[in-house]
Amino acid sequence: MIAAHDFYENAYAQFWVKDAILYFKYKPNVTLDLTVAKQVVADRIYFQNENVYPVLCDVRGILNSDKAGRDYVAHSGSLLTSAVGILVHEKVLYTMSSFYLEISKPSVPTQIFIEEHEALNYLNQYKTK
Amino acid sequence: MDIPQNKLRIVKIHQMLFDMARGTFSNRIPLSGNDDELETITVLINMVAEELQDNIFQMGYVNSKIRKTYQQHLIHFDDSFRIVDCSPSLFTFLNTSEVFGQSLSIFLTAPSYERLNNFVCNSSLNVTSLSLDFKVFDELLVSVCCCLSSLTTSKLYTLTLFIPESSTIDLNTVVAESEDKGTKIKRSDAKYIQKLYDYILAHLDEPLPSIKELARQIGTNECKLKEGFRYFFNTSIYQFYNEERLKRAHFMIATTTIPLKSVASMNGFLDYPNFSKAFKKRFGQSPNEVSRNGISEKTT
Repeated sequence: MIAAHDFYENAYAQFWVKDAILYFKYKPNVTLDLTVAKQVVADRIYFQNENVYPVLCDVRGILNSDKAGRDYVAHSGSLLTSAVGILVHEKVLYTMSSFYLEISKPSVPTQIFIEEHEALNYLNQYKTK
Repeated sequence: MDIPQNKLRIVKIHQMLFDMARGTFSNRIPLSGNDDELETITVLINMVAEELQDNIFQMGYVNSKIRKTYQQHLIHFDDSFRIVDCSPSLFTFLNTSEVFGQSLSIFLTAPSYERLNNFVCNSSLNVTSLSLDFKVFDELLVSVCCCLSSLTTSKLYTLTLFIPESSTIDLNTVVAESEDKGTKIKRSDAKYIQKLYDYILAHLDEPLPSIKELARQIGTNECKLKEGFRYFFNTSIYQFYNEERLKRAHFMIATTTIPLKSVASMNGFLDYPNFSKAFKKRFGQSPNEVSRNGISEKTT
């Protein structure tokens, strides 16, 4: 059970806010293409409305991605985020996320983590007061 | 590394690298689903091919002899997804002449076929762009930009495939010459323009610094920056910055309920009337005329 207020989901992801951090979790077997990227970004921004949050982005459900999806998330997906911690667990996802960081160049501070508590430590410094 | 499955995966990687060396960036290595070092290399190569395919017309990214133009192939299919007609060039692309009456499911990967199915059944648009993976070479997939359209008087559909083809030009010397001042744009200038492009996209919420200041930060001169940017992007630095921030403002207005004055200042506009005027000029409607808050589905 998630002990947090406000929980939203769409076909590709779930998101909720806890302790001033936005938790964003992709559902299993998602391919991050432009269609998916536009939908998750639009829904996340709607959910946040005017509030800026650091985001814990759990990408462990992502199966694959394409350039259009990655570039869209890097550019439009940085809106209303102060920083992003990407949570991975496999070599392939780590490689994909590193590529995203180096090549798609997200507009906000972004780092990759294997452990959730380390990601949360990183994001704590970006909480808006 | 010696097990047969890994040997096959290495063969596919070799094939892909050779294709890329020949200038073909539209192929993709199928993923095996294993989470190992070989798979990370496979994924990396696929992603690099995507970047190169997209940027191949940017002269700074072109390999030494190859320049890309696109060839079109046409497929007409019925509502059972059987091929009814096609352009002759398709036989070469699909590597077979046994095409008529065949289902597209034979030539597409399962996810791509399902995707095409969904678009045909659900799309209310007459013309749709989508990317589809074709099974055309032994063990390799070709990812193709396609345009799907229904036809007006018959119940057929048209799929137009855009495939890059090679031609040769010499890029060893100067790539281009500016018409105005004779400034020579070299392939090595691309890295400065890339830095500038990245800078602009990361700072849309601030007023744009002067070209002099940008040149100083990036480490080149004003002339190269202005002419290089125009060469690669066919627009001026300020026009690009303005276009991107207006697009971002439109996106924010359509998807949030952030007050319009805040949207303006979040996109580098210090003065709301100026923002409103620029917005209306670009989109044909004032910021307050844009319908707000589209969302797909949500649950609490």
